[in-house]
Amino acid sequence: MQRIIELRPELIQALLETFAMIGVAIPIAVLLGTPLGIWLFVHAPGSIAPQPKLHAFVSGLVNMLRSFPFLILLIAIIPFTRFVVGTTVGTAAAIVPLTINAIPYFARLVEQNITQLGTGAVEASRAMGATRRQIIRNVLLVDAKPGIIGSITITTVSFISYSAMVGLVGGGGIGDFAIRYGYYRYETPVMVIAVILMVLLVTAVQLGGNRLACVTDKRL
Amino acid sequence: MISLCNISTVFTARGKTPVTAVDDVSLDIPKGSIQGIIGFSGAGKSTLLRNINLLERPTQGQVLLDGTDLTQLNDEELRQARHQIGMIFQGFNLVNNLTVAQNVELSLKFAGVKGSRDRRERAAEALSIVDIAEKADAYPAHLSGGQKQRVAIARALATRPRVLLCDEPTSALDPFTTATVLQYLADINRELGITVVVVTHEMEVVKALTDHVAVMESGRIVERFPALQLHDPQFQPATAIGKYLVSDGIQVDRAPTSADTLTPVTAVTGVERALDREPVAVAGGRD
Repeated sequence: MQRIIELRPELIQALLETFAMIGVAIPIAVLLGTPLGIWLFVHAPGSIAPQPKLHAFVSGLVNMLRSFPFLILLIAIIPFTRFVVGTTVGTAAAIVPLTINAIPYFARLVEQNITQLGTGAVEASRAMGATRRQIIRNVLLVDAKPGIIGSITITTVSFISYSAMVGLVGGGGIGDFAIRYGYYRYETPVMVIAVILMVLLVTAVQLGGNRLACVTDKRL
Repeated sequence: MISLCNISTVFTARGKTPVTAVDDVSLDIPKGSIQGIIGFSGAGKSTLLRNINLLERPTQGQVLLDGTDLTQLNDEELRQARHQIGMIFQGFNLVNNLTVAQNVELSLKFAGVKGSRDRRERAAEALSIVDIAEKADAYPAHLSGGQKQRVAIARALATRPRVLLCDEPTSALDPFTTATVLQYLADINRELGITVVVVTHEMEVVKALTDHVAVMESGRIVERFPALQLHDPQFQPATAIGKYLVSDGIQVDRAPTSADTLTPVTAVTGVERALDREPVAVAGGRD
């Protein structure tokens, strides 16, 4: 217990680092991943505006990024990271690979959210003379909203966990704290506390996300 | 009003043999009439209906709406033309996360009606045509099938179209609700002068609602007759498919023993309750 109090400033620092990483990576992933997910849906073969070749290319690119083990991606894009944030260590440097990984991850979820809506309302909208943009904005995104909120929740939770790995580039964060103090230094109580904090964090995100999705979902 | 001239629609999927869904069909639908298109699943009747507003572009042929060939229009012109052609579907196809009023307003927005107050007023007006204005703020999930279809009708009518295409409009509804919905379609045709095209597999629907009937099989119209003839007990359609469609009920060969083992039904309570479910339908229409 004494040790926990001793480590309190670092624990708080680690939590702030986690918030920073998630707070930057997830919004950017949502901002860029949503249009990418819509693009993947719209141009898929048999969809509203099929572009089979281009779609296959972009989809392959997304798959490639998605299939990289996160640690390898982290190392592989170091030159890019340096280019973007000017450094390859620290929290800022960790945000870059997290974001790069989160964009295709989130895009796929959005694509799924839209695909599972079914074609009925889109067909009705086409019959009503809607433009493609109107269909996306007024129909697809409206009906997919609860699903997309759920996807933001899932992505956030996943990346709280992913962010534990960024200790490799000195990224910090609560997960890294658990590994450094708890695991490497055999301070089991410290590790337990850190993990409990992560569980609480994840639970809070999940409950909040569920709540929000529920409020926006009028389908039941 | 609507003239389909030598329409063919062929679906070509890569690596599969092409399927001819509509095979050289010509059909004239007079202004203000109700045309029924009947046939079994896979006969091509829904594809033919979707050819009219080019949801499915025919491979060959012309679609004339008041003399304009829709197949020659560019995207923008086609969108404008579609505002003249309302459509309703078997599955209603409402936007589930929007209220009833918002769903109707959406079609006005798509039609380019500026001003949210204008849209709101016209949506309310359209909803009152099908007597469902009181549900304006409800979400589709809280409506019955018949109510959803009425909202879909209001949505289609809001843009004041000249034509209403109905793709199996009552196939997901029970007989009572079907009667209500058909009554609204008949009223709309009569009072607003809208030309109605109904695709269905139920002879009851064409008998109750339409002026002209076209029977489809394997992508072709094999027979047509005035719907009035369906009310003549002597009437015999020319084709086997036509005869089957007007025949009474469904016949199934079963083992003769099964009837003996059935327990006779004695309790008949609950029938009145079933009738209460859609009181409007029992009255044969609206209040």
